[in-house]
Amino acid sequence: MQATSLPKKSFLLAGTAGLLGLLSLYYFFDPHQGAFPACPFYQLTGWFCTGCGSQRALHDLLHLNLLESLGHNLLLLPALVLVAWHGAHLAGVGPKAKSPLGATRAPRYILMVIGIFTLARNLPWDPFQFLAP
Amino acid sequence: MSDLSNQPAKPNNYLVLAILCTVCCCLPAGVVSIVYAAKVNETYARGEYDLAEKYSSNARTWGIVGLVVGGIGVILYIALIGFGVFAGIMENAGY
Repeated sequence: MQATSLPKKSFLLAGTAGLLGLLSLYYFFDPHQGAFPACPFYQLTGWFCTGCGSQRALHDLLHLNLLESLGHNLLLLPALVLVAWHGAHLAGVGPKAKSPLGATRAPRYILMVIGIFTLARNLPWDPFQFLAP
Repeated sequence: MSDLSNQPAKPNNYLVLAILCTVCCCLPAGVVSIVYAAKVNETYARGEYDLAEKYSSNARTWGIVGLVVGGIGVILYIALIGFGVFAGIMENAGY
């Protein structure tokens, strides 16, 4: 691995600090009680988008309530796992298996999953209610 | 061997940025970015390297647009709340 240059290093440092700050915000303040902005897409259209519920899901995840986190947004945890896997792969650490995000057809499959998920969570019937935030 | 060295490196498709954008910022820009990520992969696999480069920069642009718009929204909101709390404290301090 080559040495990272100074601007890149400070950028990484600022990014890490910002991320930690954001995570602690979502740990200590509860989005269930309206501490954060609601999704503008939902406010405009009345429909749930792909990311709706991810703030509550992140709060629950940080408090290790896995089931509740998945109940608010089923895709947040898998997305974070995939991103972490991909990041570890790029950094050359972690499992030897190839990151699924590196596959040629990965974006296509992700689009399909997002489309089906977003459609399904807006259906008002019972089995799909779990997908709603 | 010459084939291999003529082949340019695969341009970044910014898929991670697009995913984070879609799941966290709830913005359609993330979806646009994923579409361009798919186009980067497909054009590169077909050997249309210039087109892949173009789609790559589109994917980056849309990913950044979504992140900036979402980020600014959250920061504005938090700043407004903070300002409201501060104003409330100052108002009470007057009494």
